[in-house]
Amino acid sequence: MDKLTEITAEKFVSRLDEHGITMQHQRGANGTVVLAEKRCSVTTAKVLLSSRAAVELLPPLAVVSANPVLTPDGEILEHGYHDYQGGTLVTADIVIPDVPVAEAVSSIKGLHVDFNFVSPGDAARAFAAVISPGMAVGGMFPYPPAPDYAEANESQAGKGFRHEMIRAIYALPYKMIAKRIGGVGSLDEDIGTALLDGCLFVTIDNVRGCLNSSFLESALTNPGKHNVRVPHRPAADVDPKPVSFQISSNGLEATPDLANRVSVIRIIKQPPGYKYKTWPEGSLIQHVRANRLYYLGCVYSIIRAWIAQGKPSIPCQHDRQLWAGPLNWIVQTLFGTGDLMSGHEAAKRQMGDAGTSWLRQIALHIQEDERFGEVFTACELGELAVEENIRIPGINDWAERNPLQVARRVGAILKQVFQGAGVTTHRDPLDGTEDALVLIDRIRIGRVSMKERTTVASGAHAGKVVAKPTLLYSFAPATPF
Amino acid sequence: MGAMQNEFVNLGDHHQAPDLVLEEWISEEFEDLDDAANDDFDDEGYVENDADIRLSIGKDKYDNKPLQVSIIGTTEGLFKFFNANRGTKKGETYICGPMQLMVHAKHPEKYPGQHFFRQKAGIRACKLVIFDFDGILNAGVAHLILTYLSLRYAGIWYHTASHTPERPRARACLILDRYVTAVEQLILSLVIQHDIELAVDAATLRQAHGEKALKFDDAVYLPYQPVYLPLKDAVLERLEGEPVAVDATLARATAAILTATKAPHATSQGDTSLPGDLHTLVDNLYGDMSHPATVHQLYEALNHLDPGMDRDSWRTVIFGLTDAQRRGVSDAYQWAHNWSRRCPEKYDARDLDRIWSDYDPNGGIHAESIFWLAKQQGWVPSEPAGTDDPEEVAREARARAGAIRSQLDRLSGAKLILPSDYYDHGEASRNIFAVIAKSHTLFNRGGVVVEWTS
Repeated sequence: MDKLTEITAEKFVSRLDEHGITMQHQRGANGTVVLAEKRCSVTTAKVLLSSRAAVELLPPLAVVSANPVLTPDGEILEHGYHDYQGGTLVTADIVIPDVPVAEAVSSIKGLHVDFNFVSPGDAARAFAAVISPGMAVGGMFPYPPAPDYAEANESQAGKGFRHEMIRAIYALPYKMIAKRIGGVGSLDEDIGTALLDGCLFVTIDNVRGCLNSSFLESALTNPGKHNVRVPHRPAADVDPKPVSFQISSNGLEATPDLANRVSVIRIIKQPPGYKYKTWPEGSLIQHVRANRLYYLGCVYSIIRAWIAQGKPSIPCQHDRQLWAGPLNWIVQTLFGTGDLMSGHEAAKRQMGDAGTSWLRQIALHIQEDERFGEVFTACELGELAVEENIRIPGINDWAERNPLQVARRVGAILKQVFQGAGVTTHRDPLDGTEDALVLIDRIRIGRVSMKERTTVASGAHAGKVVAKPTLLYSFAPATPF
Repeated sequence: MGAMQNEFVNLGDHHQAPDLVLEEWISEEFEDLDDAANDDFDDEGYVENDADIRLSIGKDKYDNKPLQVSIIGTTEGLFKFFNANRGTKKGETYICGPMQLMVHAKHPEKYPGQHFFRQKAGIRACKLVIFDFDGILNAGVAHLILTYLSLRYAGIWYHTASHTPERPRARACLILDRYVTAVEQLILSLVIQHDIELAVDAATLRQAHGEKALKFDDAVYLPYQPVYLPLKDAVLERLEGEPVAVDATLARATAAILTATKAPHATSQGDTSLPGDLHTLVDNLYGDMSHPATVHQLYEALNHLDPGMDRDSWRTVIFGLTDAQRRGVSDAYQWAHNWSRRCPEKYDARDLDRIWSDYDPNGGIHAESIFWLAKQQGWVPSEPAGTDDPEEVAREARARAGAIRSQLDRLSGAKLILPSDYYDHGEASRNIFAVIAKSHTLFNRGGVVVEWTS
């Protein structure tokens, strides 16, 4: 695999041989000092490698790309080393074809025909996700692009497939990280290793539960170099701004900071029997691999069109304006989509809110079990969570849970979700009850307040008929866009 | 054998016969050549006048049994020979260095008997160096080169079959003042090429017009490479200078390669120990092992050996691999570890690295020691994937010439002076990293020295 590797003293000895003859002054006959051929020892190599000259004289390296790099001035950096954005090495001698912009847009859209996006905003963000890595490698953003967070309602919906398609276009070194629960090494360590290796794509695949990486958050928040430390490797200062992060999950919990910085792209699994487009080369990925230079040409043409227009930006709702603004212009002006961040707030809120994320998983199970139309009490939803082993946020010791604890916690979560933003409510003026509706992905979750008449069993009011408020929850599909 | 006392046809008598053609020589003088006995030759294989130039001449690119000829070693003699044997079409009638009478080294079954096969194993000392100008910017540059050569050297100059007035193509054959070995011939060629490049300021030409502004075909520096003679109407001119002074030119090569560096206490070894250093250089040059077939054989031989052998033998193998790496086998270090690891009881990575760095090129152990050890233990080398396809041979030769050229460039290019009592660490590291930095192979990534590996 292509990657950056540290030069050990042993390796350095043989690299010296490739650069010339190693010689050393030695005392010769008659006390004269002569220069004679001498192999460098490992000890000397270590001394040389740790010298100040090694750092000061060797060219700095920030980006290694197998593709020619497009700069913000519209220039192409060809095969070889370039003193650009802290050192850019282009390792392959290839020519990227020019593609007319209209054709480029149409071709990139064509790659997405089989993805069932939750909203038009998700489709716009998916188009942006194809363009964004090319801009990042070219140094057009001051920080790493917003991570492409792919979320699906079910497994096998194609979220990993979309990521792979983007990587296939760029063919840049990448690292696939399966988020580990426990075990040796941490997510931060894996990300650090990827950065030290010079990877330009870091894919954190199929995250379950909470994604909590202080390094990732720091890299996305603070521009500039970050000290990367990984066991058994020397620490290095690396700027992650050319790196595109990809995250996939069927339901991710993230810290609010991380949730604010990702670009959520939600897809829904195509129904059984759906006819996928056939490609001459076989699968979509095989098609992209066979024509990757063409698609890279499409990406570069689109970026060039943006540069030619003076690098405009359309503000939108996202923490990373210097990333989102240009891409918002690109998708709206060139791809003809709506706002890049349309529908993103809800998706983001859901990711940053453990309760909403939990309710989404419950809703997806109800959808899978074809129980749309039924009504559930909070207790029943809790029981469903237990049956399906969907951990309820707030119950720390899941193994030792009890029904009362489950019911209370679920009630609290539902109360919180239906008091949150994005909830539509309707108050009945006669009895004062309130109905509410929240939309998660493409599922409408309704809460209906009913007053159930019951007879008081004991106490001072025993025998009296009273109206006890009961909250019922229903799930139904939303109208597709 | 008739009038022939040895394998060479002396053309002295034929120089006045412009219509002489190759077939006549074969029919008149070489009918019984196959019966020639090695006993007819002296130790060097030559009996005639050293002033003559011995050559092989073949009919076309498929002729692997060229005729051995001897011509008068003057500009006039060379001119008449070339003029008399012009080809009628491209790829017809070639010369190469003289060959030995021997069996075919690679395919004795396919080519039975003893002949003067054109083959690497059969090369002999030669008295010509040839330059093939594969690209010349224009007629002006061609004229400049011709003038330069004509004022200095004896020989001939002719336009090749691909020549056009707009894109001149030419070859020059220069006469040497003594016979030279194949390696001497190669070094001479490289030195004279360098002189020509300086004379016409090739660097500037190439910068302005690309590599084709002046392009040499290195392959003809090897004595078994066929060099085609001029076609019927091609320009053929005499170079009216002196034969190349071999020893002086070689000395210049050595001096260029081994000149004293800028180090404070350096002395010029080149002035005092020229012959020894030249031989070391030559050994290194000719010892290039980067050809895939050689690398494959070395790998086979290594894997035939048991890494659990006694320590002395094991150390010999490691030293042999160190030498192999110096001579172009880039994976040798990895092989050393992988092979040694097969004996886990003895494998010690640190010990191996220490032995590796202790290697002394003058210590008498070389990569060939591995072949020797393997043969002692019953290893039989497999037949390398050789071929007599002329194109394949040419490709092989070009690759080899290129590798040797790079090696020469390396040797003549950078002196990496290690720190010592006479040379402080700071100065040494600055000089070494200044050289490495230019190659863009090692980088500083956030304070760590890295390389990009594929």
